[in-house]
Amino acid sequence: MPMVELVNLRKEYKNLVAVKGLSLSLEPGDIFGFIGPNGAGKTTTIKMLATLLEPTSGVARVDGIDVTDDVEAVRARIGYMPDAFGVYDDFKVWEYLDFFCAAYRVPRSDRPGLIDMVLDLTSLTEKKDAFVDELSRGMKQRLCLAKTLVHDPKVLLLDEPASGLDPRARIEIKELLKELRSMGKTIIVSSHILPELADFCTSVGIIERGELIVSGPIEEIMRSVLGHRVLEIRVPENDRPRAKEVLEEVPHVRAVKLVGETFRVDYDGTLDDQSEVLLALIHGGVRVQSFAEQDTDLEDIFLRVTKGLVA
Amino acid sequence: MRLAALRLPENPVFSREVRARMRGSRAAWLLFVYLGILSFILFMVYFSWARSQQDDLSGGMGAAAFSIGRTFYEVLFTIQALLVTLITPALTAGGVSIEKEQRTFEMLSVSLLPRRAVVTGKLAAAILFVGLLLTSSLPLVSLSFLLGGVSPGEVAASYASLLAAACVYGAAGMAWSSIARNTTTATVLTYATVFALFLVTLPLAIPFQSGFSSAPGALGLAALNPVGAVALGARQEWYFGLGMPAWAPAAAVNLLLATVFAAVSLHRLEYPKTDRSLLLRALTLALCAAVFTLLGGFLRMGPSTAGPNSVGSVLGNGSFSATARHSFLCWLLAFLPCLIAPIFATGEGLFPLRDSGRKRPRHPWGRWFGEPPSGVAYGVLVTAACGVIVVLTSLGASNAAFGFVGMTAAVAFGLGAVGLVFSALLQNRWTAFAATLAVVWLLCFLSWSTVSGRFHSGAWKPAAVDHLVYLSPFPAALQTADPQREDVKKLARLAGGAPVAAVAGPLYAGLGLVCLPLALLLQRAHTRRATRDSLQQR
Repeated sequence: MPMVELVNLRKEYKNLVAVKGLSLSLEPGDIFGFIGPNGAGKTTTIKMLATLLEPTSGVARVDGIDVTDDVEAVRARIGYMPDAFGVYDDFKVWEYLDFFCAAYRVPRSDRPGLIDMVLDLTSLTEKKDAFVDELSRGMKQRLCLAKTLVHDPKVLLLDEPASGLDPRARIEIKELLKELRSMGKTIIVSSHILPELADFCTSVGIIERGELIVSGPIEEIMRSVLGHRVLEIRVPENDRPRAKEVLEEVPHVRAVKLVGETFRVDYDGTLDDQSEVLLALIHGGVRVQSFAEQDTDLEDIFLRVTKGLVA
Repeated sequence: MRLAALRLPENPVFSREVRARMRGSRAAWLLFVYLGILSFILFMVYFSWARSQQDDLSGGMGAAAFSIGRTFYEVLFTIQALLVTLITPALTAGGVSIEKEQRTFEMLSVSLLPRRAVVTGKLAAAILFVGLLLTSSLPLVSLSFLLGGVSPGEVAASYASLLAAACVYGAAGMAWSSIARNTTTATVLTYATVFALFLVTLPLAIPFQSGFSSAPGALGLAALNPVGAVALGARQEWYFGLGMPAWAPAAAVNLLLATVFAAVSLHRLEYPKTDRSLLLRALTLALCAAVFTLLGGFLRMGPSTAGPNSVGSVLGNGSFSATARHSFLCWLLAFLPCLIAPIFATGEGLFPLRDSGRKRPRHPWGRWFGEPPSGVAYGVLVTAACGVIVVLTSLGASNAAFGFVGMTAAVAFGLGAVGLVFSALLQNRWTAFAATLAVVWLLCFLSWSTVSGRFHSGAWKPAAVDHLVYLSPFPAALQTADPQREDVKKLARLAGGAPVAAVAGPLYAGLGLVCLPLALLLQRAHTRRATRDSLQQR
């Protein structure tokens, strides 16, 4: 049985469709990276799973339970971390966690041990008696994550857990997520930045304007999207018409476009064949000033998928 | 094991609120200022008393101490009543809205904490703090004990009344903080509500406070107002010939009102929305019925049978004439639909559109339950029920009485239908509410105040404008309660002897019958437009 299942999930507001027929299925232990630009519908989807918003139509199930049927059972199974959250400033760290322990009906006698455990997991043990508002942003983020763990949820819904953090804090959060993965939790983590997620997600979904454009295991997506790349070639102005002619003849070249002073070539051949392009240009008498592959990191993949390659 | 079962369920919101409130120096400062104000005023009172004693040596010291003891008590508790009215709303008006603004509310809502615990926890913590403030005044109050003139029962009754008032004001704050979008709006609306409640109940209390001997009409429940509660102290009020301490029924009504506000708060807390309209309506009905029963039963046996320490004896015998009691109740009954109809018969349209994205869980009693159309029926029901209580307890069964009650029910129907039209037209709860209130004011209040001035002039001749009185339910109330009044006789002349209710009733019923189909047509048009828009969007 899938741990998280979305079937044709749809959310409409008065004059906006935030999520259009989203379908998804996650097995226990899956880490799903939910990627999309701001306003794409990530938060809305996560909120529907977190029982904070009611779907207009479609089904969302957690551990086989419909989120609209038994809200309480779903809430007991999920740990939700909103993208923008506040903390009770006038609380100490342990009091904050104790508060959520009580809210999740953790028996009193279990609480001290549990609080120490989640503090240890999130490396906040030293801050146990500090006031929450003395913590740095990264620590608050970790504290919030600690809070979502107190009731040992099966599914974690983390909305932009690393947004607004400096690189070090980001890495710390990432390490923490890896730790959680090893604990066997099913995690849905959203981000508008893909590289943040790439190295520990088992699958990824890219969402734009409420629609899931691509989804699947991360390697598959990398392959399908990385299948073609962009070459940047600079030639003197006089040679440009000739260069364009030559480039368009080369096999695997899908499109050629002059952007500023450089050609951008959309190439879908293999890496070995890539030198053919340069060879062809030189044979064609074009004086090549520079020839480079545009840096294709995961961010570009994301941009390609969401906006199309050559603008 | 058995002890554990007996323990109160844990409420983390309550412990959090208490802990946060007492942490830091804020609570200490508030306590300091509170006691400072009380001490300063007490000192001034003592000072002026001492000065007056220097000039007047005729009275014995014992009697003088008695009187200053009594004055201390009255001043202390009146000031505390005002302070409670001012402080309590501030403690709760941000209750829910601040959690939303701080973005802590979502995390609270996804936990297993019931929303009931949020409302009760915050409210209980606020009232506990008011209790702390009140208790801190005990040393000052004990000065009165030292000087004499006040019984411990009186002081205890005053404390209980002030706490009951704090419950109402605190719960009003919770309700608004759940409804309003931000804390500022919630605070403004809470203070508006609290002051309205305070000022509406104040006239009941003033006669006692200033020692008037002729109170205007039958004024039971004077202790609803915290100032009145203090003035009444340990005196008795008589309900259906049954004497009870004046503070007790008022405190019960106040607690019921607080429960209504708390239920509103619970009803409005979203994530995901639970329909509590049945609870809300049952509570409101209970509140209205309780107020009318108590007022109707107030001094039913007449003040002559009341004891020496009763309200009647303070006011002087004969202040509670039957007509005075009747007119008070009839006014109140005529006023009831003016409030119930706008509140319950307005909403975001007549019922939620299916694809508006604002889906609500379907009520087990059907799709219409909890929506404005059923609110109209509910308004008629409440008005009729209270009318029956007025007839049974006060007016007595007569054609005139039943005619009047029928008219108020018709007013509830007519005004409710107006509320429906605005709901269907505007599709927004608050503008529909405001528009309906404006119509209520135009029809019921403006028309009557225009004409009543003319009635009071000596040389009155019937004119066309006088027929405006049929638009208001209040002339009929006057006529039913006291047919012998001078302006009421003029009313009768205007109608050619027919009771005003016989004209106003059908008028409002007709208004309702016209507005009801109009509202349905408007709603249908709106639904069509909305469906077309959403189809176009797809």
